[in-house]
Amino acid sequence: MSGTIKLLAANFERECRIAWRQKMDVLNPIIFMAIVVSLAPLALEPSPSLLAKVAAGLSWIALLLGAQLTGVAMFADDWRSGWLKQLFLAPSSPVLIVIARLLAWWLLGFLPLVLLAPVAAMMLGLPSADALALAIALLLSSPALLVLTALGSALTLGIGRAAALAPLLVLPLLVPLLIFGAGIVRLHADGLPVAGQYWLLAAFSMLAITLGPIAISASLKLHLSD
Amino acid sequence: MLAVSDLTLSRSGRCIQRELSFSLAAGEVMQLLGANGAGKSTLLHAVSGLMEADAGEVTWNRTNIEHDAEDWHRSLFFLAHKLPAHPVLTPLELLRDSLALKGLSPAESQLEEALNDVGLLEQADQAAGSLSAGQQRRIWLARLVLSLRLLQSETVWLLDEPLTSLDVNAQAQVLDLLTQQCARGGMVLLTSHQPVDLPNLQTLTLSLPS
Repeated sequence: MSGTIKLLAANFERECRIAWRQKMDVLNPIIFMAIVVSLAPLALEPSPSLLAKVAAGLSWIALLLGAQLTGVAMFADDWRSGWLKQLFLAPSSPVLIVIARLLAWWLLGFLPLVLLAPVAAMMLGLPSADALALAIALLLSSPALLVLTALGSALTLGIGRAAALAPLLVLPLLVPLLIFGAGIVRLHADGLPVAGQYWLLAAFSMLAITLGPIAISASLKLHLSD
Repeated sequence: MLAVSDLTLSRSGRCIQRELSFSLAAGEVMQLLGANGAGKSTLLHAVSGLMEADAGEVTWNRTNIEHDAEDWHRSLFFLAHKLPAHPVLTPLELLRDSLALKGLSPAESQLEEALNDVGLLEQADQAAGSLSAGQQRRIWLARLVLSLRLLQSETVWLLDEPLTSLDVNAQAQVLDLLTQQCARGGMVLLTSHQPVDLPNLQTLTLSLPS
């Protein structure tokens, strides 16, 4: 058991170390989101009532696309260098190593976006009570978002233009999250109960967390011989 | 003992080896020979278990490697032709990460000592991406040194072209490491286009038909 935790910790630490050396990869999605949100008032009619109405949806879209920006490269570097082979030849389950990587990416790639998206929505005029609902919705759906993005990254390894293909593969699968997640804010603004929607998002994420790492490691396995 | 029986391999839908069988016992070095594209690297991948063979099996101590992957992976060190070095990590970190996969957390001094042995101590804290091809390969020589010193369980080395881009001294060092691996009862399966002459040790060869 302690060996498992040590392996998880070592892999998690490695991901953080690499992210620290390649800070732009962490900052890019955040900058992307900031740009989308600051351009919206210029492109749309700059009336506070309209902006407040679209704020939540816009933040959701900026987060989904921003997360794809670096998420598609989640396994690409290690596949290219051949480190992935070393990972799969370690005397432990590759699923564990996938879990360590997902944890690191959630913390470094997704959590900052999840925390910033409600702030961005508030800048566009979303009332703070609704922004809280948005934050909870994003937090609950982020594991599912992370796992599906990772799956897209794993499946498209070795395809030259994976950067364009992976989002095409993943975004349709994220549509339910978007519909329920953005819907929550609307319901909340209308004063309706949203607990059911929260549970649904949590269920999506639970499903993704339990089955995702197995599916991801299976699709990574397909790319080990090249 | 490592045994390969009736292995049939294909790459991109094309059959490249048919019903290949051989075995390797403790203290033996086997060099795979064959023209470019004969399937030497593919064979190493299949033996390691990274690639699935069309037919046949690889057994380690009479157990199919897929049945007890954990034991096989503990006994194995596989170095593919492409060196698994993330360009932003340093040699010291690469060695530490590589050993961590085997559940080992050695002291900094042990890693530095190994890097010193391969003449890479000065570059220990430089990003691997800024090192020359030969220097990058020396990092993995240090990994072999550490395998001999710290990982008694790593009895099987699969090395794809371990001599490329190394200077004469480093090549001699590789041969020395191979000798030491055999002396401790280990075994080595390697590919190389150069002759592998070890003192007091017969290098077995296996020619792959193309």
